[in-house]
Amino acid sequence: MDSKPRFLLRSSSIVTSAALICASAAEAAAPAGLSYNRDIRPILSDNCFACHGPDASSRKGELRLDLREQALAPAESGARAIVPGKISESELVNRILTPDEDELMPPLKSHKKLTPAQKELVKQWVTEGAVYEKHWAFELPKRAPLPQVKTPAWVKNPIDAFVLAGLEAAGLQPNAEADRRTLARRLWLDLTGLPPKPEEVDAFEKDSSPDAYQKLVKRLMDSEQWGEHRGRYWLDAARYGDTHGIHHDAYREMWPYRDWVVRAFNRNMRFDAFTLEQIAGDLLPQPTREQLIATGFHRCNITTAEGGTIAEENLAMYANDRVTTTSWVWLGLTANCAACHDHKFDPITQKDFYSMAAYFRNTTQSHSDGNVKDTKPILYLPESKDEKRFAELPKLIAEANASLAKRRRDAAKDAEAWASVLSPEKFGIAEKARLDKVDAAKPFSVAARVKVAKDGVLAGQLVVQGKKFGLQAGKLIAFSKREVITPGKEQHLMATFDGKNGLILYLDGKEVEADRNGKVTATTPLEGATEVKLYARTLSKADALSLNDEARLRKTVALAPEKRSPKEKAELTDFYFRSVDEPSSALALHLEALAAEDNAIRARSTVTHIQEEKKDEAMANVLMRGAYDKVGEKVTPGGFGFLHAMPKDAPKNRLGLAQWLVSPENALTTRVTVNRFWQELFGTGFVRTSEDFGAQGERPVNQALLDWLAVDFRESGWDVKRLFTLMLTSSTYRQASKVTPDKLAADPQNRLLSRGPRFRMDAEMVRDYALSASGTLVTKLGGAGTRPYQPSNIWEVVGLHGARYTQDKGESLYRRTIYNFWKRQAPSPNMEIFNAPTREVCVVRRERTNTPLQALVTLNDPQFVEAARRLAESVLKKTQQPGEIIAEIAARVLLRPLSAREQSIVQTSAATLEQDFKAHPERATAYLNIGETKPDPALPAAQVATYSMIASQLLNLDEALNK
Amino acid sequence: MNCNSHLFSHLPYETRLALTRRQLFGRGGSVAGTAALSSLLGSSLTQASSSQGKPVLPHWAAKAKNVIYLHMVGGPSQIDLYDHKPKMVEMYDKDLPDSVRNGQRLTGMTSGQKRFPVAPSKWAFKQAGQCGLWMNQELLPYTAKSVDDMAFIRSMHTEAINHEPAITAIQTGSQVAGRACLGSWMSYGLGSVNQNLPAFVVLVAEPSQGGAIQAISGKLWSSGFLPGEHAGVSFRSAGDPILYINNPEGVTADMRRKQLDGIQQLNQLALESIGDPETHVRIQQYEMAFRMQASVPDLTDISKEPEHTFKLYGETARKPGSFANSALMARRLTERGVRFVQIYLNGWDQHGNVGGKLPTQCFDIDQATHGLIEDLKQRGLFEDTLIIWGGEFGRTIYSQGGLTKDNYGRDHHPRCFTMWMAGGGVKGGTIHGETDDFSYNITRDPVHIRDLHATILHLLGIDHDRFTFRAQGLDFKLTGVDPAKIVKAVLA
Repeated sequence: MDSKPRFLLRSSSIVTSAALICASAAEAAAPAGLSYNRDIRPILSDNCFACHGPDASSRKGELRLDLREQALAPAESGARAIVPGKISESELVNRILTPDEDELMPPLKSHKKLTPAQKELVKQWVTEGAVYEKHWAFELPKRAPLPQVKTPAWVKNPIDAFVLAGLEAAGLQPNAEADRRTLARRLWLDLTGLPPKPEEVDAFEKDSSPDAYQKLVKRLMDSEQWGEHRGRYWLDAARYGDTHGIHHDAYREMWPYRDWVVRAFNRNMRFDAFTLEQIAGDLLPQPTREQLIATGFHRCNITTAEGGTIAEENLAMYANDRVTTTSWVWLGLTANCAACHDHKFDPITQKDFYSMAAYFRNTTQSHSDGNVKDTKPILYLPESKDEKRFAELPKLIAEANASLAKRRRDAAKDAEAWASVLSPEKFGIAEKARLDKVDAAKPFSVAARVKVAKDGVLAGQLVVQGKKFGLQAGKLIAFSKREVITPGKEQHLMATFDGKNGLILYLDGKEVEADRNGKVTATTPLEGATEVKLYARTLSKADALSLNDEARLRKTVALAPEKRSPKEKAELTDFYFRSVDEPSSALALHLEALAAEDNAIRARSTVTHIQEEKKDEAMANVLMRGAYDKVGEKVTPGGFGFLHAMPKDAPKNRLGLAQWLVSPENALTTRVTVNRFWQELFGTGFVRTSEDFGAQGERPVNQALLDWLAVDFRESGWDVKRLFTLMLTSSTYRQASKVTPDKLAADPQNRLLSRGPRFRMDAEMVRDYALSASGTLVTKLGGAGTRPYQPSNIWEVVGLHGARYTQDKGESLYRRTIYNFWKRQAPSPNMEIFNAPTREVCVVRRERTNTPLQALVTLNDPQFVEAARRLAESVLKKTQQPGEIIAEIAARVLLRPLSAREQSIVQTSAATLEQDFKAHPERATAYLNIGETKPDPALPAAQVATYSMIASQLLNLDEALNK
Repeated sequence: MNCNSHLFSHLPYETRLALTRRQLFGRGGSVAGTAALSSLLGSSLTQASSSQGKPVLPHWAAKAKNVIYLHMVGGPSQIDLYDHKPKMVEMYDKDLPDSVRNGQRLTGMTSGQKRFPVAPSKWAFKQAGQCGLWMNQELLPYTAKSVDDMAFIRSMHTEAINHEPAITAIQTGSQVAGRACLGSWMSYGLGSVNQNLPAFVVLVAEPSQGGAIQAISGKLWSSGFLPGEHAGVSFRSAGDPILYINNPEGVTADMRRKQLDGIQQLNQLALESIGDPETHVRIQQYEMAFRMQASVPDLTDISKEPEHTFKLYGETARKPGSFANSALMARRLTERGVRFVQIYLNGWDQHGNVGGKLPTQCFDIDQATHGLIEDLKQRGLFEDTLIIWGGEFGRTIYSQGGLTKDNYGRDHHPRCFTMWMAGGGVKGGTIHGETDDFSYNITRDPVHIRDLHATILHLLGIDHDRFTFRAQGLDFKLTGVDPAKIVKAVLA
């Protein structure tokens, strides 16, 4: 009994035959007979190309079958693999038919085997002349004339003509249009990712205007939720996450990129511009802030800071990810296979791979993310109150620098004169009014040169404790954050206070990070201190350098001016302008204040990760077998050689790459993009393998329609909303989703679209649905990642060194799921269980499983339990009558009235559950207290608990979980 | 059978089968999915068919039906446990000869060291068992009693030199994330033999000493390119053992049943009116969820274990999250038909203070490991269960950082390390492979991690060369594209 199903599954699965039926229907214009692309290439690709295909290094017997010219050429032995029209002379045919196991192809040890039907096809193909075709996806799409159909009345737009032609060829009829309520729910979910409110469905049901449907599509497309919903799909492709992904998996601040994606969809950005800005926004002339944020796309890849990793290896990994992602998202090609060797099925060479990598290798990004949230290159996005100042500061700083330079030029003679009369005794920064005791209310500075032997306190409370130093004056306190004191070594310490802001500490003339707390424990005077100075004013960074240099420069000063070297003279001049010349000192302080202000704004700004090009010319090396340390040939940037040429004048940087991706010569980008958008609505693309349009990918169901849409998309100006409007207003989309046994047999996966789309919603939609139906959803747009309910020990068990999940409070618990903080090594489990990706790598189609763990989430997760309770509470405030309560819950969850049978099932559940809760009030209390919001004390607990269970019951229905 | 529900009954058998297969393998299925599959299809069909033309499994009679894989995260020191190098005593604090290192790659943590002084193991080794394995009995006295049940491979090697890629490699056969791990392959290939629990369960044990650990995340037990239902299900030591397994407070099993009855009846009505086969699968999965909820408390309740269990595994087995507790849980899971139990124990990444840390780590595993073997024997499960022990790489003979006679650190060393296997199909008392005097290079019978994978699959009745999965147009194998060989020496 084994062989029978196996044979069926292998040779002619229902899916394949359905695809064939459809393809032949769609290509009705094509002559009957064999098609290389449809019938032969898949056989050769699956069974032969691994050894007789594009990859030269693994080619056997010098035979290449993917190119006709080479397949027809005689081998050294004189034999020819293919002699068109002559089967018996064709070695290919002989070898697949031979009974001799040593001669047989594919060889036994490959575990590959041609079926009798496949052998027949190959024979027929050779007999008919062995005509090759270019792979369908590499030919430019063309707009085919609309096919003739038997029921033109069903055709609302060109989509329907192509779909109906396919259905008619398969002997199927489309389903009738779904009812208004179903359509309303479907539209809301597809356009906004959220369910409608009952009254919105009522209004749509009652709207009898002829364009009611179109109006609704337009209205929902203009809502801000449109961008959130469309953006969410894109974020999978962009592998957006809020952590670095590898090893520590620390926080990475880049949510402005996520919000940019939402905005881009909301303003219906042309998809070609959307591409250009994300790949190369930084290389556009005078890029705007938005265009820079957009380049975050290729900063979303996972990075590491693991100790012991090798810089070159990491950089190779990052570039590899960027090529892979670009290739999946825009080209629908598995270029990643060409990282180690030429692609075995598609004509992508290893050199092609590294040519594209060259674009991405030319980055200023470091090999390590440093486990910090802001790994350069980054863009600061100041708060709105800071924006104006942040924008003008660079100019002010430049001006101050210019003034300083000017002063140095103007007063050069003064410096010379000063230097010529210096004496070692008088040299130094004058203390002027010397302090006896520091006053924490007024500016002061303290400095000393020390050679530390043990802890101690100096004049002015400058203190050394262990390997740290600091100062305390009243409430004013600061200690060096790190252990910077080296006992026995001469070091210069300084602390300064401007009278308002905190203390600043300097070591050897350079500022050190300070902790603004600590405790002075040392009491004995510090030994080994010299050059102790106290100033009743604040000293600048320049002064700190000067003070540090003072002792050394005193030796220069002791020399007669003519004996000083040019370097020594320059040092003295620097000293003069840093700390002696009053106008310069004042300017230096001013400059420092500006710089400090600039730093402070940066510190409180949001940052986002962007792309930045090195000045060098882009290049890369081929890495043999993909290994970072096996460096091969040097390559310059370029697209894949077998595809279209680079546009003329395309720059040799990422901008050139982006132009190549959206070039009208590109046969793939429009198809791949349209296919992915189609998949969002219908569950599966024309090509199921959205990431692979190559030889091993699936051939499109209804290529004529895919091509028509691809051409239309480009010709309409890459207009995303227009494309969606076309799809959403088609009769194809508006069909009821009822499945009849006939349709199940003839179109099991609905690839022919003999019915409306019906499939389980994505993870985020499942959660948002419950929140929205219960009225608890907070619809605020954008911002930092939120941390809703999550079981304990999700981050903690994977995290290094204290990764702790701190759940949010208040409205952040109820935001849309797109805003969930995405920790890549430990994504929210209630999302992962519903197949949300970890976002470590690009995902262009999600899996869609149906599992018991999913049931446990929607039944038991506090997020869902609380939502059900809030829903029940809100209904119970409206009505207390059991029948009405149930009807109202159904209206909110299912958006339709229940049938009598359904009503009675729910009522039975409610009645028995209410008995339980009444008999055990403590159960009701416990159940109602789940979640951050408190139960409404005005409502009877047993009743709320009962109808919470009922709300949960309906939220768990297949109908509620499905689109 | 359930799949003969009236909706599909008019269809030819093959069509029904293809549909159900599609739901379960292609689109549907479950995390504990093959269990659900069993409940729908019966396990014989599970093994016989595949949407991808998967060969009939097993390819031959399996020697082992279950696996318990004890992964020592961080890389234990082979030099201080099983790979005896007496000549190193004379080499104390002398530089590792260049001829031994031969310019090989070091991690960034020691590549800057000026010297590579040899650090002989501070522990005295003794011979154990009939097989006479020289090992550190001071730290592993219990394990020493089991050596005649174990096959030691002292010549393991890998390419990866840092944790993340190395753990990924030994779990999935590739350093690059995204491939399927061993447990997922097994779940995919052999399906489940129980109706209430997943086929592949993961336990992350906590080392008693805490300290520096390596990241252990769900991607290590994700199903990679295999269907999602073959991902490992992590059992947790604190909170719900399976995420969301417990009903909300105040909701009893009986009340949940009442709520569920309504869900199922309403879903049945939807199935009748819409006719989507996926609805049928959902009804089944909600039942499966209910059964899981019922069986997990019994699984995790160790209070009824007799006293001698704790004598066997050690008292720490009472402490949730300890290695001993995880080992005991592994036995309880295996008993209940869970095919693959993966335990991770962190804390072996000893770059410094081997003298201080290694004894604690060994104490964590020693008695419980021996106890697990004995317990499985007593219950007649040992013959059917393959136990695997090892890290992702070994450690260097030269000291990282300071060196004294009593203490030293050791860096990552991928060129050789020791693993052992025991149980189903394994020849106990085997000592396979040799390394040079420095435990630096392999001198006899090298075993690459893909050879280990091929051997494990072999014991499970699977030919690694014929066990493939089509993803991205390629037929992926656990053992990858390079030839892998079965380590015949360890087979019984």
